[in-house]
Amino acid sequence: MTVDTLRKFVMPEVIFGEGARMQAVRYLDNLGVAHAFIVTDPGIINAGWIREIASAAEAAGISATIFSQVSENPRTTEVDAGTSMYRENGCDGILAIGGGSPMDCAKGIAILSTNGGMIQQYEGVDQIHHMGPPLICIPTTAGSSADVSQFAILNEQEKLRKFGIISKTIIPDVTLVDPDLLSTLPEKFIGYCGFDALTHAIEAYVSTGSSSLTDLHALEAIRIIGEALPVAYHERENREAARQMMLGSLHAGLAFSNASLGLVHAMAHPLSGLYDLPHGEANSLLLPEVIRYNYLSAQARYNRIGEILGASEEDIQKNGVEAIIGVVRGLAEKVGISGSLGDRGVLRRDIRTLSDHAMVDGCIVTNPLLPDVEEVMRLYEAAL
Amino acid sequence: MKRRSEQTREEQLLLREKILGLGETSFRKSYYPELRIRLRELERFRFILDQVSVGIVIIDPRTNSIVDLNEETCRLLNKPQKELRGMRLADCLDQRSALNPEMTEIENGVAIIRDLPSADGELRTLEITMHHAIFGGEEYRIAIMRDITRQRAAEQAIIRTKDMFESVIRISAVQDAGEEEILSAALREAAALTESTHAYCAILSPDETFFTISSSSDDIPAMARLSPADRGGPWEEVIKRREPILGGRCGGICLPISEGDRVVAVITLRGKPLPYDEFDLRVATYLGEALWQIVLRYRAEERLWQLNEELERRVMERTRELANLNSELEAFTYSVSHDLRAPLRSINGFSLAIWEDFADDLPEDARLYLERIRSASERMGTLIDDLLLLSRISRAELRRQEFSLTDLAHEVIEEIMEQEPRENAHVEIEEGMVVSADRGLMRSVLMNLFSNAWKFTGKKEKTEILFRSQKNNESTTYCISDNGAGFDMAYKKKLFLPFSRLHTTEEFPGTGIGLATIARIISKHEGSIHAEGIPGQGATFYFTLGSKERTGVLQ
Ligand SMILES: [Fe+2]
Repeated sequence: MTVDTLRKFVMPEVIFGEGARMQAVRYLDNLGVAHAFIVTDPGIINAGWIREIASAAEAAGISATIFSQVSENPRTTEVDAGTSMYRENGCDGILAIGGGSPMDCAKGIAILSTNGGMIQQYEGVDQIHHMGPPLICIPTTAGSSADVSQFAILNEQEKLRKFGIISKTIIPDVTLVDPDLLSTLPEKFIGYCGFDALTHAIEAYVSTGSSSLTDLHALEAIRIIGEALPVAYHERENREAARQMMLGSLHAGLAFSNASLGLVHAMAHPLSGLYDLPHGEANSLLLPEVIRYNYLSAQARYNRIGEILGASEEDIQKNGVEAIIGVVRGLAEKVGISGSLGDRGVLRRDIRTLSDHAMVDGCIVTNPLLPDVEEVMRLYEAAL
Repeated sequence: MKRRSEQTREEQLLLREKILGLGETSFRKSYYPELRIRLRELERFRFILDQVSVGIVIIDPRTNSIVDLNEETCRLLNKPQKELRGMRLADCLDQRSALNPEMTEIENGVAIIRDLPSADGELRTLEITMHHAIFGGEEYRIAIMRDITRQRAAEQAIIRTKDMFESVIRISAVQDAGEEEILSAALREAAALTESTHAYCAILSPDETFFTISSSSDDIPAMARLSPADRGGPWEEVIKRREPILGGRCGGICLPISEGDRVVAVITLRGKPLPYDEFDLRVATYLGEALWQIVLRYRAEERLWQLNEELERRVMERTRELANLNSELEAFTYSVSHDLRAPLRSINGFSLAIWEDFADDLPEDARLYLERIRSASERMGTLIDDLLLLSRISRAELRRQEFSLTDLAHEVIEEIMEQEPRENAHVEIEEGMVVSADRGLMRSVLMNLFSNAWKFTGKKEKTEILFRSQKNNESTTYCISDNGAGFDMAYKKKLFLPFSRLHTTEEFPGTGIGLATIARIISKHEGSIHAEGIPGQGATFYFTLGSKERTGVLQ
């Protein structure tokens, strides 16, 4: 066991800005890809982005095979199907375009294409022995940050559970963040994804793995998202707000990919597994109770978050954690998130199972306060 | 899955460390280790390619220059890698550049490059096959080179060996030719097999004083065919050393042909454009030995032929002598018999006159003597008649005709019975016997045999004579049997010799010439005759007559 002073910061090569997607062909070529495997979803195809990129690739002499059978929460079976298709077509590189789902699925395919076996084998931290093929991401949602993170969250349907794969080897080689692509999201998703990104930033900031490098990105993310999310939610055509959400999400991703997350994510993952609850929605409903639980362990940091999100100094002085929870709830309400887990059909009898899963989720180990299972159960109950 | 309650703080800290990227294997993706693995594989593959005994060259088809190559290629082309890269393959192959058009022509085919100099100075033969290949979207030509020098040499050796055997067969099949022609033909074959312009064979005389020279061409004047064997030239050297000379003073190949310990001839080959090699020597030696065997055989045949000729000549001579002798003898017999007749007629006539005119005046003794003279002269007359018949038969020509032997037999027996009638005689003659023979001669045969039968049955109570035929496959045997005095089988061979008799004249009269005459007639018909007999019980004579077709004139 080493003294807890070492920190690492890893990130992909990042291009941010309108038209960044058009760099994809150049990067594929640079990485020596002759036959790209494009992982996406039908919505992106309909929007015409795939046609644009695929034909540019063809013009450069790079073939493309398109795989779009990816669900909202990517399934292990979809990873298997994608891997077969990847191999059958003799592909030698992956381009993921879309939200968190196609990107997580692409990471799964990348792992299996070189390591083989079942994707469940690679659950946990540092379980991957052979690096995958070149992976380029073009995110189309602000939120998951799979385009910069070392995480891949996949859904094992038969067991009604989600599991995480954490490894520096699945950090993409390149991420091309192009705000042009954001405009295609439905309203509801903007709120959930925005809140997912906000949770990333908050959890990374209070994480016991945080560092100066991650703090910088976490705080910048909270600031940007706090300002831009309500605008982006209400004005879907506001390109600047969309652009800001992409940027905020990118910052949040850089922060949490290196500092990791905390209890909110540890508890949100089992909920999505068991109820197919959207990840951002689960985060937003759990966040207040976790802030309350953690507050005393990272008071100054939570206060700083509160400040950035608009809580006045007096409010914080006077109400403590409630002031922080207040601004978070306020932001949630502005983007159409309200109610509780109970409203979403979460049952009391499932709390034990959920808690057991949360206790072994990798995100929990960097939470400022390490809870026992009873405490986790109480938190679920409180959020019910 | 472990439950949190079972997870220790230690484990949690370890997990946290890994998530933060500080675990033992928490490294981001790096292509370098993978590249290193691939590179090592490539190096390994390259190593394997360099061990292969086939030259592999990758060529850029746009510039025709060499892009990559393996070690064997360097060895085959006798140049270092560095120099070969970027060169045109055709330029590496031949400085004379005469082969360049050929190289571009082959494209996808096979080219054979001959006489390529190698590091050790020997000339190599390369086989190059061209292939097309596409790597990473770029088109290349691949040249695969094999050193087929030894393979070629082996093929050549087989072909030349076959040619050599064919030559030997051709030479040994030369017919109706003299020794000189055979030698000449063999030398032409030897010259052709070794790509020589001239081939000579010098045969050493038995006393080793001179050579008899033959050539593949007719360019040696008859005068120069003989050469003294004491000039100290290459031939004398070969004979002395008893081993071949290759090159040097002889300007080609000189090799000895030996019979036992002695060198009997020397063969010389000249004028091959390239230097003579061991194979040429082997071919020449083999051909030379075969040639000598053929010459020896030819000489033996020649001797045998001469001997045969001589023998035949002598046989003919002897035959002619014998024939002369025979006809002289017959002429003598004839003239003697003929000339004896006149004096005999006088003896006969005058003794008859004495008998008729003075019989009563003669004393008893004288009459008896006279009778003896008369009977002796009568016998002598018969003897002369028979001898004349015999000699006439020998000289006569056979005139075959078809006639009834049955009728002739009846005619003859009636004549006999008329002259010497006898009671109790039973003569049986088979009906329908038809033959193709000389009727006049056959009459003598039957007359003789029936007379004998009649004669030897005279002392029997009853005379039984039987004449019949036995068909036996193609030939027919005629038998005349009687129940007369017969004879001892021990004498059956003596039976047909002239003047031989088995009985005294007192017992049965006869000259002893009859059966000899019969035998002569039958043999003239190309038939045969023999007899069987038992003393006191009878005799049987068997004869055949040969066929009409086989009628020959007995000399
Ligand atoms: Fe998240």
